[in-house]
Amino acid sequence: MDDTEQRDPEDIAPSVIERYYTRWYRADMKGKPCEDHCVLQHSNRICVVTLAETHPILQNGRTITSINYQISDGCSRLKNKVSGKSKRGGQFLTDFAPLCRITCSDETEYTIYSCIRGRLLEVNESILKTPKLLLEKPATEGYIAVILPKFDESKSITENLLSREDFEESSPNGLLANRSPPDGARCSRPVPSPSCCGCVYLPSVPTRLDKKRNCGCHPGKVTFTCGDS
Amino acid sequence: MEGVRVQEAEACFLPPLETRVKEPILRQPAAMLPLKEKDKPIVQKLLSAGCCARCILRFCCTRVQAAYRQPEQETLKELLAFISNPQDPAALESNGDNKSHDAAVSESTGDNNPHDAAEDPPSKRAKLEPSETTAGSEEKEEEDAAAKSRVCVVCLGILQEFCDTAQAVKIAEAVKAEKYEFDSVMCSVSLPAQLCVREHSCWLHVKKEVRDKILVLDKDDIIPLKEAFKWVVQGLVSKGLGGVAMVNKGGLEVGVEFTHEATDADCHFLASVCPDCFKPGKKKQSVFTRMAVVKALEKISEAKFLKHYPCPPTRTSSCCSLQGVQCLHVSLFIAGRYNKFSRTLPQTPWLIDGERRMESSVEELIGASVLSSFRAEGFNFSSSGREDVDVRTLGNGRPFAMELLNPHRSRLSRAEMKQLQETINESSDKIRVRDLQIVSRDAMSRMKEGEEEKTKSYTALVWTRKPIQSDDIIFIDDIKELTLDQKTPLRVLHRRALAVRQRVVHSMSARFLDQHHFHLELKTQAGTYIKEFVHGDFGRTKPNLCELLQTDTDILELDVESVDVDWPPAIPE
Repeated sequence: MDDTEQRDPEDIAPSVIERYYTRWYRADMKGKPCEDHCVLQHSNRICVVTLAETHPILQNGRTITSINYQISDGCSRLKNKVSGKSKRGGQFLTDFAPLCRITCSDETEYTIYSCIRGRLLEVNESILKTPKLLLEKPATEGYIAVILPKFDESKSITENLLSREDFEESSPNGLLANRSPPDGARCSRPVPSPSCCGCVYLPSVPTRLDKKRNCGCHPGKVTFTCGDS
Repeated sequence: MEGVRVQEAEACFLPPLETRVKEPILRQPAAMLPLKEKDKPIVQKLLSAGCCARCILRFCCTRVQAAYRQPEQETLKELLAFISNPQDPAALESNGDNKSHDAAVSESTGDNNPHDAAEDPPSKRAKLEPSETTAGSEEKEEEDAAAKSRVCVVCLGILQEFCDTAQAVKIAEAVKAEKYEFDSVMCSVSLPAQLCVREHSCWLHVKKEVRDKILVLDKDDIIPLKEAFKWVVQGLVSKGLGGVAMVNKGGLEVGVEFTHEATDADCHFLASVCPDCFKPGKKKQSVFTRMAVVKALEKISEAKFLKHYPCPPTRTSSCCSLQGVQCLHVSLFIAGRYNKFSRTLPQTPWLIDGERRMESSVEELIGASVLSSFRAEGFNFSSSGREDVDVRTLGNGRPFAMELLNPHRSRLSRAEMKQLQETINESSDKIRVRDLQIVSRDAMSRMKEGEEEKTKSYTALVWTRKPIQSDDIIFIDDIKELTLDQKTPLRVLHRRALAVRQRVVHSMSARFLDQHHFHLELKTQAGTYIKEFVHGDFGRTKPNLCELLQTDTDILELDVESVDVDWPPAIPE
């Protein structure tokens, strides 16, 4: 334990997330600039959906006024129940299934999506009671939901997502370095074209495009800049 | 039911009968067989159908084992003598000593006139013979000759040539070749499923014959072929193995498997008649398992059966073949406690997508020496809980038990067990074993019982983001009987049900290391997830150490200090 003396407390051995989870990102969810999501995948394939550090909710000292897991009249994520080892009865989610809607004090509303296909195991009810958790610890106690991908899809579900490296590269100023919220100054990271043909165009680096979903109407690199469109 | 009662009566009367039989110098063959007048038509019918002597005894529901053990030819001779005996009881008596036999008959049939019973068969025989075999007595003789020389239509040779001493010696030699050390032997027989069909056909054959007789013969009263086979063979095999005890359960199981390909198709018609009985399974090689065939035979109506299958069954020229002798010793159980001194050693082999993650495992390190000592084929390892790969188990260790599969050696002295323990301990410095002993299967369950109730002690190396104050240490030391609400940790959620479980931390004590590190000693209820208690698991364990100390905390190392289960008993060094 001699060397612990010299260790910088901020720079310790990898954290729980770094030890057991892989971080994946979906940038500009549904084409909405900077609405980045983060998926933490455990080595046992379980995924925890969180807000990325760059998400507008976490910028400019916003406060949250409401979090709503009732995503439509007929569907509430709070009603999700799983039973047994095989987690029977959980709602099955696709990549773009909304998990909840979050309203900030400035009346802006954001929808958080599942990002991956899988069975919903639980949503974080703690953030309903203490919305502050979402702002203060977005990567841990402020998580949104836990999703279990199908066993044989546990690898492929992250193919459409950005690795942490790619995600950081896509924002040249660094991950947390002054990425501006979409309603403020410009975001320099390329964002996709607004839906031109109704197809699902995945806003990520072209090489990571899901080929099945690529409709072919976006030849070459489509580069847009926040606020330009 | 009457059939059963008759048998019992027979059994009661048998000893005096046998002693009396031995008295006259001239041994009367028919007297050996505990058969009664009313068995005659059955014997006749079965003989002409091509049944062997022992199968006939089975159909006569004879439970006298000695009758099966005598040579088949002798029994056959006696049967032929029995049916050719004059029908008049007086004649029977003059022919030899049949007094006791007669007495048995009159006793067992109760108020039935023995004369009636005796006189009935000839008329019956006279009535039936022409319709049964269209030809006369010449053909009848021919058939008798065939019955003598040919393979039994019911057992296909099982109770014939496979009951020879030579066959039993062959089985005993096969067992010896496996070099087992054993106290007792259990015999198990696997027969081709079509024998059930053949037996059913034969049963319908004689059932028809005795329908209007007094004897109510039920299919269940027939002596099972397997049982008769064991009566004859078990003793011979035991003798071949030096007189080892034959038991019904446990010890060394000697399995003999017979097949008869030529008649495999016997069962096939059942699939079209009772398709629901024959559903393909994953492991099954053929849908015509013995169980399925028996079930189908219970369902099928007599008329339907007779429409599809000959009654009596057709003769075949070949015998069953012995597929081999399989030896399997019952499992042996051993138990002990183990220490794990490595943070890169999993308890059981760690496989991800079929690929190995870590080089060895606790169970393999222990198992290797144990397997070679007991010359076992494999093992199942279980323990009182388990630790993660990066967790050490110190102190007295964690109770474990192993089921040894098919051990060729089943007894080790106390000294030999101690030697085995030393061998394990010398083989690796990553683990250590103590209290190694042979236990019973039942005793193993005690280990699992204790699993959830008992307490466990741990030491954790904890990191804190904020510098630790002396107040924090006092605060932690003061915490007693703290109940946690633990949601199934994300770490194990893929294999455990999602639930909130209440677990108690009985006490804690902190040992300061430096501003950001301390050793946390915990005594908790078994089943408490310590790692999650320290880092909080996304706030899913509440309260957690982050919350208690109001800073981020993380667990860097964990040791199990004791698993307080008092089984297996300690063995003094």
